[in-house]
Amino acid sequence: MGRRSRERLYKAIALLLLLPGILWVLMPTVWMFSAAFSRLEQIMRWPPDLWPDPWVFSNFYEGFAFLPFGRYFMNSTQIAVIRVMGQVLAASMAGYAFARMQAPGKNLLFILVLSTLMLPYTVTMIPQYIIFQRLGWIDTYLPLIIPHFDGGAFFIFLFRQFFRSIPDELTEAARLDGCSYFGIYWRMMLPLSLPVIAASSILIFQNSWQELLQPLIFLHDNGKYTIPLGLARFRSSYGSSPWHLIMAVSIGAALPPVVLFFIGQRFLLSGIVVSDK
Amino acid sequence: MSGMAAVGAGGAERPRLSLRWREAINFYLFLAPWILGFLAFTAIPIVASLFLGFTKYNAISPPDFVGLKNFRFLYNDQVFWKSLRVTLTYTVVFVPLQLVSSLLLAMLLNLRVPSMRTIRTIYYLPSILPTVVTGLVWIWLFNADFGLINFFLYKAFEIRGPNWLGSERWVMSAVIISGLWALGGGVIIFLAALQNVPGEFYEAAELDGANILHRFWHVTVPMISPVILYNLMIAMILSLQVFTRIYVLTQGGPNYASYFYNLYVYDNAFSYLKLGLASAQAWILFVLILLLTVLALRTSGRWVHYSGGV
Repeated sequence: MGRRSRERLYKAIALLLLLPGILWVLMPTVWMFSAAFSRLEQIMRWPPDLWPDPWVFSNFYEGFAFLPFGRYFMNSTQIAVIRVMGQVLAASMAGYAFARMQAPGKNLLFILVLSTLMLPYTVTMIPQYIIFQRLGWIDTYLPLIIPHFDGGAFFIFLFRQFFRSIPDELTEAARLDGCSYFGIYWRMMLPLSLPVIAASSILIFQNSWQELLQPLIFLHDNGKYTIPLGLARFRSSYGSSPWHLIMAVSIGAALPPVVLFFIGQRFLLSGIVVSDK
Repeated sequence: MSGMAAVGAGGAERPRLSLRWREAINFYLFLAPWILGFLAFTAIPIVASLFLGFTKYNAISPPDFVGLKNFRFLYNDQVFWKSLRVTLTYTVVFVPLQLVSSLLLAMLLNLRVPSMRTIRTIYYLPSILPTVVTGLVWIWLFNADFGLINFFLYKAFEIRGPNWLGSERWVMSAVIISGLWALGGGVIIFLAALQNVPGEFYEAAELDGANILHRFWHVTVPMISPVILYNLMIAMILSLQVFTRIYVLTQGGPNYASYFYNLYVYDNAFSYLKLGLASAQAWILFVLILLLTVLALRTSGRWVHYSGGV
């Protein structure tokens, strides 16, 4: 068999494996949509019938009115947007420092940054709670935002990898012209790193949007709930209840990260540089 | 070395720091957000948590030093061992499955086939959806009476599927299956790594007569081995800390069969206000993760190849 036809065969096999997988991957989403447009009775029917009959559009309206999910939605948005801005800024600054500057203690600090990846959140969780309680931050969004303004190890690493791949000549010239480090960072590095900014923004937004444990600990006033907390609380307090409404709300809850992903999708791969150049 | 001298040797110009000093100061300025955040929200809490692990503390009266009592309590606590066993079982089964399927999926998604971008997007979709949302959906998919999973089992094999989330025997399988559904993060990182493997390597291997398996073992795996190690460690660290999915899916039940470690830590800390005990528990997990990471790094010398300094 020639090389060409062998390549074709591999590709055909790959597609044959990937296509049935798509059904598996899409199944939960399909069910979610089906349930969101169905009446409650239809969800609890055997055999399952995924085609809503009749289509119920008022589930969305009722779902968002049922608990103040509209407000939770705004709360989650506010937290995620502020967190993304601060965290991307901090991560890019730290990444720039590690990639392009020399200083005593640099290697040790970099190891320290990476080793925070191993730290379980539960270790810092309790002292953080005590600190935030003393500061009067319980029932505010600060505990969900401010601790992330350290940039986070993974994102610092992403920016570092990217900045290392930028040729030295570019910045050397600017330095000889008397450009400050901040000038280089702000006017050259950041504009160049748009793919990393986009990729990290998407990932940080997702992290923030879906975070449950921290809101669970730091938010008690149910007007302040985030979307995941509202949904989880709902699940634990109403055992058997309007699941069709929950699914309608869930679609709303899934929308922002999905939309953001589609907007920034092309950067997601190019922004993640894992090898060294 | 001439830092100090340069400061003094200003002469007619205003005194200037040497370039090296300026660079170092800038470095620390740029790193300041991380350093401050690290000190306030990581370093100090780590030390505080270690201290709290040796105290009895309920967030109201001041912590009371009790020595090793928390650790002795945990040693005799059946629920603690149960939660540890649940978490380790999950990790041992889930991590290899996840790693292998992520790599295979990434390789398939790396092929140049028409409409691959769409296929990639579809496969990444589960990882975009918030965990709480997918958890709620899986509750229904696993439903014994109306769930799609049991419907397929019945249609395809005429099997009456189990009560997945309500049975001690099956709940772990359900947790693993729902976990394997969202492979996205690891796949993306593998995919990025695969795209960095130079095409010439494959061509050279092919000229030497290497078939697809040879190319996989002798080109792909060595070339992306640092990323395999990274994904392995992250998968391990995360699976020992599973919380959200379980909190929504089973809340630890039935009869503690899916009572993951961090659920118990959370309950001890915030449901029972045993903050000292929970700190001790958190530290035990931390030490476990450290040991496993060191083990992974130690053994990695044999199979991880670095082409340049990372």
